[in-house]
Amino acid sequence: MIKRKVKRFRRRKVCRFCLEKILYIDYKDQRRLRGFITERGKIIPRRISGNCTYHQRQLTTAIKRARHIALLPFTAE
Amino acid sequence: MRVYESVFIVKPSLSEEEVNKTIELIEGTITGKGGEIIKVDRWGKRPLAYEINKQKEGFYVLLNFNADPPVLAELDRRYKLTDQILRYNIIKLGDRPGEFPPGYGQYSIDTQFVGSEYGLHTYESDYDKEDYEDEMDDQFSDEHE
Repeated sequence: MIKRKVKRFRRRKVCRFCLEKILYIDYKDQRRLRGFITERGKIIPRRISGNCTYHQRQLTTAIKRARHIALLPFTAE
Repeated sequence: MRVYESVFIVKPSLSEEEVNKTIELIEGTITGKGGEIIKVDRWGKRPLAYEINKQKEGFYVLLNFNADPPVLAELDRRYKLTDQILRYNIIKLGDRPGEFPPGYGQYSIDTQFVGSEYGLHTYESDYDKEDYEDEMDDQFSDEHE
């Protein structure tokens, strides 16, 4: 268990996909997906992106598929 | 008959004719076994996010079709055998012919590669970027409660 030195302020973020009522996150939508990977190409965790579980899971498979099709990188320096 | 989607990448160095021939070859594999093509979308040449077979660009093609499950095995075999195709994927979209997942197609598919830098994740103004950057770009070492 890690002790936190500073209590971090965390706003209750709303899931962006739920706001827009999006049902299907498409792996081909590179432009939108790109906002959910870091500069190194890693997928942004839910606690930071603020997505709900349902959409985060869809997002993750979408990103992984996009990586396979070389629309998104696996890793990028 | 289930509805499927397949995206494949053809070697960009081929002539237009050869590319079309390859696409027709794939289409033929599907229809030859009783499948039905719904949509063919040629995205054209696009830069790849990483090199594949030393290529930096690829010719992307999207295909939506209805078919019976056995057709897929043949399609997969055909993809693997075709040297001009660098990558491919086959995805099931639904169980009934023409049944797309709810909300499919809501997005516009961006066929133009916008910008060459990756990782344009913009942090919300509430979150200080530096605050979270070490959390993220090092290992996610916490959260083992």
